[in-house]
Amino acid sequence: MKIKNKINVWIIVAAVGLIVEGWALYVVGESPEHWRPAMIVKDEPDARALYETMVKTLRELESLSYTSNCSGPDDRSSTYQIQLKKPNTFRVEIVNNPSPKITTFVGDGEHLWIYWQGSRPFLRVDDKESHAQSRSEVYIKKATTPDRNSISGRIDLLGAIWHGLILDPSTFHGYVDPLESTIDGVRSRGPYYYRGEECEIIEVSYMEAQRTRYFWISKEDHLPRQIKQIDRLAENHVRVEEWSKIKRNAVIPQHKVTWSPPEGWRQWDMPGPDDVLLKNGQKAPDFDLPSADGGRIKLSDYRGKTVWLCMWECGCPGCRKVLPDLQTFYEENKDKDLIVLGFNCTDDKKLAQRFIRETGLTFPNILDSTDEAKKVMLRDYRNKTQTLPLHYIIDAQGNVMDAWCGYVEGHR
Amino acid sequence: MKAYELIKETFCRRGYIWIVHVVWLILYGCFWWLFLPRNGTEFGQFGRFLFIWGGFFLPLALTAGIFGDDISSGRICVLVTKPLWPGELYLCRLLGLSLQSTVHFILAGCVLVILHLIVRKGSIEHLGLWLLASWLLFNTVATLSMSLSIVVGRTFNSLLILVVVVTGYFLMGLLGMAMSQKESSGVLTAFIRYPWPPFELLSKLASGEYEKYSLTVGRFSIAKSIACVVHSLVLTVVYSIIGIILLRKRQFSRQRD
Amino acid sequence: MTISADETMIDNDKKQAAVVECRQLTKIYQKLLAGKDTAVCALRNISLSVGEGQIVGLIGPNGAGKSTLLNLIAGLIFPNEGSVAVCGHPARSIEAHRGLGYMPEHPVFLGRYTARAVLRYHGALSGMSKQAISHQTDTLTEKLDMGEYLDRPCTDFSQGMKQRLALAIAMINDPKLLLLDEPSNGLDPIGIIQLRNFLKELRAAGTTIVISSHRLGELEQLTSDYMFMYRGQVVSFADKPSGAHAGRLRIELVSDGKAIAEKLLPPSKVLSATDTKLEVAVGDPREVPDIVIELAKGGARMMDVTLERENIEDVFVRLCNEGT
Repeated sequence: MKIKNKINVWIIVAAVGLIVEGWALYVVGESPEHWRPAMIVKDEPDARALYETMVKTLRELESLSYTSNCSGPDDRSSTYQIQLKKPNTFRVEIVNNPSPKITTFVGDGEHLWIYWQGSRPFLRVDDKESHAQSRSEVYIKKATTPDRNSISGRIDLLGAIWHGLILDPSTFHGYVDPLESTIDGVRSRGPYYYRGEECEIIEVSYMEAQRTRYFWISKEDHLPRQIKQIDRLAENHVRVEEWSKIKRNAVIPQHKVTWSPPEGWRQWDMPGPDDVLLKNGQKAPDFDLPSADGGRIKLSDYRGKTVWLCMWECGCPGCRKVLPDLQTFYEENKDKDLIVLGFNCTDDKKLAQRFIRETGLTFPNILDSTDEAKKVMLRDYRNKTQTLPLHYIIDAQGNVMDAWCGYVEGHR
Repeated sequence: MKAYELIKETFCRRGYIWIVHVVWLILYGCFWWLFLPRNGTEFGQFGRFLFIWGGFFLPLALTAGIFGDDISSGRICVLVTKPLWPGELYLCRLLGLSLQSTVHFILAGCVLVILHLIVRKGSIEHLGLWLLASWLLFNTVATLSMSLSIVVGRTFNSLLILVVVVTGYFLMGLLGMAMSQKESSGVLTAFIRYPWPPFELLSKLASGEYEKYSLTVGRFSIAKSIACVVHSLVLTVVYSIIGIILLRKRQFSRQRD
Repeated sequence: MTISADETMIDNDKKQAAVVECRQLTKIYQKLLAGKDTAVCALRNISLSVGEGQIVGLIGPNGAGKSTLLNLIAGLIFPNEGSVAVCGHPARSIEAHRGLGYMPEHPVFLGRYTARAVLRYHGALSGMSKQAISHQTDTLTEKLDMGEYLDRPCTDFSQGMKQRLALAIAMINDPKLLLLDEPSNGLDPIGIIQLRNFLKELRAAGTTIVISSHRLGELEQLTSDYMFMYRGQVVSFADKPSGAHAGRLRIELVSDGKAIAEKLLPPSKVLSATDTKLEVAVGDPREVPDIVIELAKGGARMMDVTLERENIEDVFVRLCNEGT
């Protein structure tokens, strides 16, 4: 009996040890590579106040210039020389390190000018022919309208920069980041000396921790010194933006924020996101991909019905607005041979499923982050600019009826 | 009395042991003095020095040949014939080492605090956490070294660990870089991080996570800190169990006649 | 006496409880990952039972398996087959070790410790209290004449001092069984005498002692219970049927020694015969008068009769030769 008791004791001790170690491994092992509810930040008033002070400081300056270096773990980086001047002018010079080629953005208050010294790079919207025809001595001119395209938005649209800005410089001009309305909370991560400067780190999570930003805010001038963004997609994307050479309210010469094209230069109308999509009447490419509920969805199975194909992702504010509308539309038209089909090829599965559940989406959704699904979106459905949400209306014969990008209030 | 003698033995078995402690303390003081940390984040550099020297090199120095010498010389033959469970021998020696390290790190803390008070400059922020992390690492490395000492002769246990850790981490790092884009990199990371002495976890416990492309920022939460400590202690227990089993199963004989 | 070299035990005195009991022990040394052809069979099917209060000497040439047997009894190594029990408990158990004292051939101590500290250390490991250790230290110091160097560090010790200290360590917990491997190594003649007397005292007190030694003369003065080992097997000369004898009878005759031997004595008994000298093997000294009377009756004119007893060295050499 004694031996039996001893063995029993050891078994119990081993079991307890295993449970405790299992718990420990789960807690320490869960680096935030996989989305968890614990990543959603709860608001702390002091941290929120610090964040708002940062935004307010940015907005109250008369001028601001700084250098921003944006990088990621892929060893590539882009450097931005940014000059901002009230009321609404700016100059941004971008370099993909170590290339010397500079892409310049100048906003003079009326127009946005984009130009390059030497030949321009191959952009996302390009094809060989169009690039060859508009390679050098060209510029882009756009009206500066208070639309959804901010400085960062414009830069991202080009698709030629390795790492984009995290904090939109347009905040200086009063621009409100669409992500602002999706903030879960702001909390403090403690003090930190960044390159000898005393900073406070705050953590901001957006869209139920689909995205998290960390700001190293200087105690001296309330401006950031470093910003880190983590996008929780199927894989995590990290990028870092480091500020340096910050000058507040310094004089920025007027010629820096104005530009006129040299003689002989041609204006090039860069195709917009909608311009590169499939045209009406073209065959909508078929696909057969996994769905969010574990099954599979084949586009050709819906032949005979009109399909509203919507490509979306959790981290896209426009998508989050359009999807409830689509759900309503789907419910109203269920009996009318009209189907809404969602398509998500970027997000973390758990996060996307939670989002679908919480938003109450009942229309079928493709949820597949493999390269095959990405090819369908980028290549087959021509989403070269990776603008979301992307809509295709496909008729009963499988041909494209309409196609557009983005979300416009009241579009439905 | 048994435990007391075995614990005392860990300090008295070699003449150089007290010298090692003194030299290490002097090293901490010199390093701190030369590279005076001006603020909390800079203290991280010093903390790492304390962590590696106190948590890794110190146990290697103290456990060199702890069983290997006894086995090579044949002294173990007399020890093993005493009415002593092998686990007692192992655990009491481990306790002796652990107590030595506790005193060592307390003294180290005192030395640094005194230096800090004398100089009135610099920062000793989070010193306590670094000392705790170093102590935990010391225990884990010490048990690993002790267990290895049972099968590896003389003082080669320490040398083996030193060589394996240095080359192993170097190779794993290269492999990790090569595999960084692949799914299996997670398996490799787990292999480096969990079954071996928890260098990464403990240094993050003490310093927090501020690497440029890390997926979090800031110090560990209470739960994560406790989990880290628990994991380190469980690892120590696992290495000890392995050592005790080896000691039980090993045969001791210097002659064949 | 209860020494058995055969597979079955011969137990003449059933009242004596066996302190050591070995059953069909086999020990094979083989290096890890080496082939079976490199294996060395150090012990082959040994059975042994040693009772309380006995002193048993293990003798044999180098490589016979003496140390292996000692190590098996001490629990330092494990047998491939068979079992070993000490005081009724398996050899490597704590219970067995409570009554065991082991002295290795080449004792090693922690150099920085004094002899007193070493004794205290080992006494503590044996579970003794401080007072008991102190008392036992004093007793052993006196008996083994260690007073002069008790408080000196072991690094300063000569071989003889180390042997004494090793013996003291083995005796610290008053063991029931003492295993001594070459105990008189390095001892001066006085030390050897002291050791012998000490061991006799222990035997009288009921301690069982198993000694492995090459000093046959010393063993002979200590005990008459030997276990002769050769190539991993036990040959106990007391049981060997052929050639076993307690000595030889040397007889000097006037003449006709050869003829008389052929006529009166069995050939197996006659070791050598010439006309004037006869050598007769004698198993028991009580045979001598019968042999002399027989020869006298047969007409032998004997001038001198001398009984030469076979000593242990003679046995050792004889058995080694027989073994080869």
